[in-house]
Amino acid sequence: MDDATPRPLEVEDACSDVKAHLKGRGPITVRGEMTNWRGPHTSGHWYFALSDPRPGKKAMVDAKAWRSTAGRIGFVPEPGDVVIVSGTWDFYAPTGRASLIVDRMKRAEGGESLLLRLAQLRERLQKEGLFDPDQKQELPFFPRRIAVLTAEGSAALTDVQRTAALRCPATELLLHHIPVQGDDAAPRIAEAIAAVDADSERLGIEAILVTRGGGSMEDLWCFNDEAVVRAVAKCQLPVVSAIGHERDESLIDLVADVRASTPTQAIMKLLPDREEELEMLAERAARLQSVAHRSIERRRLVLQRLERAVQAHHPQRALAAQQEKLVQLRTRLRQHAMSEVTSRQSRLETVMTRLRHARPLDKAQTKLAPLPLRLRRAAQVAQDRRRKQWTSLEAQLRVLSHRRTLERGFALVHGADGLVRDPSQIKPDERLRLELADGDLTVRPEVD
Amino acid sequence: MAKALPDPEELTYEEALEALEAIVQRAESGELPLEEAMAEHARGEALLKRCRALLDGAETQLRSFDQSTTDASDEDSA
Repeated sequence: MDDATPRPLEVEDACSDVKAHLKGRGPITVRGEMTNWRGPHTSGHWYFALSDPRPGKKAMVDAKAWRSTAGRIGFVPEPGDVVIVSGTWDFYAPTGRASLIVDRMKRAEGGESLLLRLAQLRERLQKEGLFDPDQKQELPFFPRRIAVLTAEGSAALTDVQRTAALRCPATELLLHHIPVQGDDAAPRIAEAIAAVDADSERLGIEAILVTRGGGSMEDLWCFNDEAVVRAVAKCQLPVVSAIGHERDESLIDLVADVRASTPTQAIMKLLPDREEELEMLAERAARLQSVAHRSIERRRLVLQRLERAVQAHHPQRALAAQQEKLVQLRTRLRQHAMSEVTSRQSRLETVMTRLRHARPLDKAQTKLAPLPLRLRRAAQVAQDRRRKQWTSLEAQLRVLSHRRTLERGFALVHGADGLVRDPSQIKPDERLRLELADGDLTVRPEVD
Repeated sequence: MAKALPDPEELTYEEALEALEAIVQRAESGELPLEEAMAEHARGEALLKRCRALLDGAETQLRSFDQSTTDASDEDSA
């Protein structure tokens, strides 16, 4: 460094120099398309960029509108709006970036923006049905080999490889390097997708991953290219896309079967997590077991209820009831029979009683009963009378009896032939009995 | 029961259970003639036996599955 060389400026001084130059430029008016515009900041300031809306032009400036200015503008622009702004340059030393401090803003007439063209393309392809949900293919659960289309040595590729190795080392990644930005990127991406798909059978590829990390809208523009979108639409293999960050949406994300917000998420969607799968398997096995056990238990309860019901309606009861009925019937039967017998008996008795009462013999007997007595009495009377008669007759007899004569000393002579009244009646040697008053005497007469 | 009833031993669990339910319902709904009640009861017992056997069989089978699963995961973690 020789003396002729001016003393170097400090960076801060250099920045002040730039700032002074820009300030000196005074107010300018610029036409541009609202880019990187995400609406008003929470502070109320607007931060955006203006890009050149002319086809093929790639130029962009940062711009800001302070809250006080934004409030005066009178409309809130949309991304892709082509506007005409007036303002002054500012230079922010900490980032080293120049930006336009907007003072006024109005919509430009008839400016066809990049975003408008994108919207038109999107609408056209949508009408063709390229983004229809029924066009989406399911991802294989466990692909053996995946084609990864991304930039060589990119952070996206590193993320993908690291995650794949952790998650599912069994799956092989087949790398296809593609340019992910620049003018010739789109046709080469489309070509690569078609080539991999055409050769998938030979390569044993089951899915395609197209990815790149974050970048500006312009950087990601090739993934909005119609050729790329059509290549993905024609793809026989399922395609997962992950372009830029969560908030970036390219047309390839719409046509892809699955869209992921980052390269890491994309590979996670493609590969099963070994640990997770094993855990899930164990958990499912446990659930299966418990479900199976429970289902058997539930059936057992049902069966037990039925068993109790069967027992509750055991025919033993019916049998007992029938037996009781039988007993009752028998009792009734016997009672009936008894009453029949009894009634017959009583009827019989009645008849017998009546019969007894009506027995003629009885009457006769009844009548007859006193008869013997009367008879006996009569006989007695007669007897008595006869006895009396007899007694008197006896007395008379006694008076008249030969015995009186005998008592006077006479004797009766009895021969063999009775009383002897004539001695001629007497036979020789005949014994004679003499009847005397006080005794008999045998004698043998002496005949002369 | 004029038509010949299938042998309980040839019925599936659900068929046997359904038949059993029907028997219980008939028993609950009213008075069957004694002979019928006896026949139904005998069939009910046979169906119960069938159901119980099928459940027991399923449980045994399940236990053997559980066992083999446990063995497999033991091997896996080993």
